[in-house]
Amino acid sequence: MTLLRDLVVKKPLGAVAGALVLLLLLVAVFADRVAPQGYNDTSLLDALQPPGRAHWFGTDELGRDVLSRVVYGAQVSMTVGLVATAISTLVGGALGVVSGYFGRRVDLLLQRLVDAWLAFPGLVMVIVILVLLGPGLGSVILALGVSQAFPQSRIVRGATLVVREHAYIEASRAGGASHGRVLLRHVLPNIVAPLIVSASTYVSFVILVEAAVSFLGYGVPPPRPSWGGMLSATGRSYMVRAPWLSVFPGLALTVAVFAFNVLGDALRDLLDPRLR
Amino acid sequence: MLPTLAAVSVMVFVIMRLLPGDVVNLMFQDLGYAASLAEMRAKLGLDLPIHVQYLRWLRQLLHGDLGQSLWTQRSVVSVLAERLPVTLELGLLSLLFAVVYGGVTGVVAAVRHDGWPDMTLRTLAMVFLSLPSFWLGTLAIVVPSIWLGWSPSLQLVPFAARPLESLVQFLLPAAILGSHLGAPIMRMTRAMMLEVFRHDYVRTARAKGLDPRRVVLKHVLRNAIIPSVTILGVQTSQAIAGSVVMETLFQLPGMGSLLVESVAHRDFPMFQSLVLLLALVVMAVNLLVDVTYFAIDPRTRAEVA
Repeated sequence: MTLLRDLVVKKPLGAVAGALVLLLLLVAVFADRVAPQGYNDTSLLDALQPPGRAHWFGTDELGRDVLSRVVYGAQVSMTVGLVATAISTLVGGALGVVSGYFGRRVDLLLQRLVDAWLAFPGLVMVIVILVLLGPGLGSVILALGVSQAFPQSRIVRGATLVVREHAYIEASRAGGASHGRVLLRHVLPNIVAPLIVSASTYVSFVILVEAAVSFLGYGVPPPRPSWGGMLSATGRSYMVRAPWLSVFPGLALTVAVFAFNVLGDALRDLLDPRLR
Repeated sequence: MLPTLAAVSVMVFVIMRLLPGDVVNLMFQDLGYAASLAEMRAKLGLDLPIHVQYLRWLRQLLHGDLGQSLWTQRSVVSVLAERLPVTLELGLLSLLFAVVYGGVTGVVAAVRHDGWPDMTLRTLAMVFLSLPSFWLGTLAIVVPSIWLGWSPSLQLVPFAARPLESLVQFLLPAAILGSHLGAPIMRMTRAMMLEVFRHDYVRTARAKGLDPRRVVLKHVLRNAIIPSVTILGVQTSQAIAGSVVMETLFQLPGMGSLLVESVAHRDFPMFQSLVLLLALVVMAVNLLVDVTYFAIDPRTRAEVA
């Protein structure tokens, strides 16, 4: 609660971004009530209508309402952004804490693994995993969650290395506490701040990569709309005749990523002054 | 470096072994890459014991043999030789753009801390960071063609034949990619400059009447630039990912579009070699970044010695 108050008082721009994120989440959750039509209601007579009173964002080549598809697209972006980041935070957090806390051979082994993983450009690794898993929302989430876990583990490892050296860790070990207890009771609470900060910056990154992957045609399969997919499938072949097809999904994507970025920045400033 | 290299080779090797059976079936039944499952598995090198497969693959690699494309029957090396210059030109041009844009605006924002140039440049960096490059690219193709009747040429001009025309052709995609890559460089440069400004030696340098510009460039920038160099290593990996998207969008026949094509055609020998090669490039750049530390910061030299 104090964090929320700090956000509003000290970082008003961050608070606005936070409100925007909340709005996007609500839109995603209540998409069926917000959207004027279903995302796959085709009506060829209304194909490629420019934005107007009947269709605020116009219609696509199958006569589907673009506004409705943008609204449903929020579901994909928010689900992937949040769930994939939750996975990568949990897996990356666990990897990083174990690697940093135990050090020595465990650390050496795990860090070489992370090194190897980081040598692959992120998008390429996501495509590799999607090729192996096949298309689908679950595959996209898993691919992004796993691939982001490794860079995130680096940040957590760094924070753990600092915490490990404190006297209270040694004291609780000397007092007979098990490694598990020390990790949960003493290490974890002290690395929560960098964990939140890194998670909040990864959400926007994950949303962007999901859109890029869908744009290339490996993301969530149609007819389910995702912002990136809307920009590739219809947008490109009709974009000169019907620019609204490429304008609105891209705008929605940019606003969402911008909101998460600004919120992440504000949270970092509040939680981790050293990183400023 | 070497353990990482070994781990990378094992990972790429494992990717091929994890290929789902139905994909292999699709490759010989629908795409006609082989007459039977046994022949398909032999073509992919899946017919031998696993350790033999790995050693054979490794030996081929060390001999510079990256295999043969299933789709075009050409050797992967010859295809890469064709595609590499395009990606190299796009990648280097966008990184150059990113460094110049990020570096200059980062320094200006730090010097004019909290003034309007700082505010404007920071907002701009945030916008560039949030704009998906493929959307900006789409708009850059659509908007001029609607309003001006002009659209970027989709016919590749090779750099070797007409360098100047080629650079002009790459300018738009490189600027779009570079603005996205430069934003974190700007933020890091600004933050580190502000950090260094607080040090006593900066005050001393100013107090003794040195030219303020000299203080900023020689005393502050040189000490503030290391994290930006580190970011540049990360950005190279991002530039490769970005070129996959930009090459597809602007129809430039480089490694990125080759990657997308090889997945679409299920051309896995090509795909495997490409993934390996891209990883090697990232590793080479990171090594270069480490070497640059030594050049910029004498302290890191002392640590090693």
